Amino acid sequence: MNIVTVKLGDKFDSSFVNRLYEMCKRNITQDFKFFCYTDDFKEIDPYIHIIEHEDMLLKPVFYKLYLFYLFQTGMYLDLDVVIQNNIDHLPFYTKKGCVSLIRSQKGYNSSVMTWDSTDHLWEKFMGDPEKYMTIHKGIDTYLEVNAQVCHFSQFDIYSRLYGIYGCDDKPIYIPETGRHKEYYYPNMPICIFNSYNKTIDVKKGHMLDDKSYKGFEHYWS
Amino acid sequence: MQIDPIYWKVWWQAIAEEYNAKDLLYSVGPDQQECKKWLVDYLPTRDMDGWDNPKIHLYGGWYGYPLIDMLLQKYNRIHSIINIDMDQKAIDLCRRYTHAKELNKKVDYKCQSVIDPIDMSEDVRIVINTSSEHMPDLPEIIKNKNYKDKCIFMLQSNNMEYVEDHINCVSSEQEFIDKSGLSDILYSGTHQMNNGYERYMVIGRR
Repeated sequence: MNIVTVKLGDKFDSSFVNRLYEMCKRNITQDFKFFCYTDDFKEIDPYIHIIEHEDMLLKPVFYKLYLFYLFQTGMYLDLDVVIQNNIDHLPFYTKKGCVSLIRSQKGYNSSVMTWDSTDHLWEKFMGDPEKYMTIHKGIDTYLEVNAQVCHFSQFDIYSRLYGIYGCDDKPIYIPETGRHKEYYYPNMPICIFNSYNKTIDVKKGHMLDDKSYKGFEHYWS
Repeated sequence: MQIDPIYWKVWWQAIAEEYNAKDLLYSVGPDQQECKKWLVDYLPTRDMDGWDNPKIHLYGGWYGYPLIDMLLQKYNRIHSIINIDMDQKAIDLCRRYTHAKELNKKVDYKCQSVIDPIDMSEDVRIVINTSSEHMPDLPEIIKNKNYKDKCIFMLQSNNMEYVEDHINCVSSEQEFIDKSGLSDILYSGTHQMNNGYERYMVIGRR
């Protein structure tokens, strides 16, 4: 199995890559290779395979689509996710020609993806990248429109901010703390930290930041 | 103040037939509603979107309502719900609710103990038991039933041992998980009830 992550720019440092690798080692029992697509590989664990970034003049978020071209099958994980339990089964949701995604509160979320033979999605995008980057803010909506999508179970992946999609489904702002409720479901395989370190909205209060990882350290340390 | 006219009509007849009015009221009381809502909130609706004709077994569902209403309100693509309860009067009332609500095509009921074998000709995807404290542990109940591995069990119990009918309470969420015999726990939680006691919920697969 190929596990891939993407680190471009300085939003995340190498420690996020290394800890993700550590969590994969703990929670995947089959053989796997761990790849990092990056423009900066210093201090990345030497056992992680580096794919050097090739500048194709795209917005950084769209390089996730390039992975479909690089790997016929694979599992992608955002650097900010936390793997809490075994994830061996996630690729089994994916049929040939499909991408498996999380169904979030408002569409799809690509923090975690598995795919099988979806290089056509990259080729289509590269047919007119300017057009697709104008239409789509990120790859979530691009995939929603262009991909054949399978779904992970709603009990496989939850959001630290939105809880279990389809059950909790919303961020809850707590005025007393000036922060949002941070959901925690220890039995579930993956927690995603969407909106991690996004701008502070005065009306909505703080979203997720480094403090949101408090209590999760044992998953990688 | 508004009361559902169907509930009112069913209760009116039931009280005339000497059903216990306090029981009827208790079945729709705040505690009951809160606990049922908790379960319905965690109904795996996203997963159910991918299932053909989702079928549900409801163990010890008592009158069946308002839970059945809440389930159908949350997910109207449920193909069928079967309420299995050994209390003949409760099942009779479930039948009346169902007729009054014209849900005969979706809702069925069986007066029998959940320990006994159940007709398993249909592929049941969800088993709900919100009254685990009234019956043996899940492994004992399902040992003579062939639910498939993918079947999801949604269970609730509590620590209200002082109630005479409660033959199998648990004292913690972990104890409930252990007694459920489920190996793939999807969700578990504890809910503080207004009377100071705790209610537990476990959702998982075998």
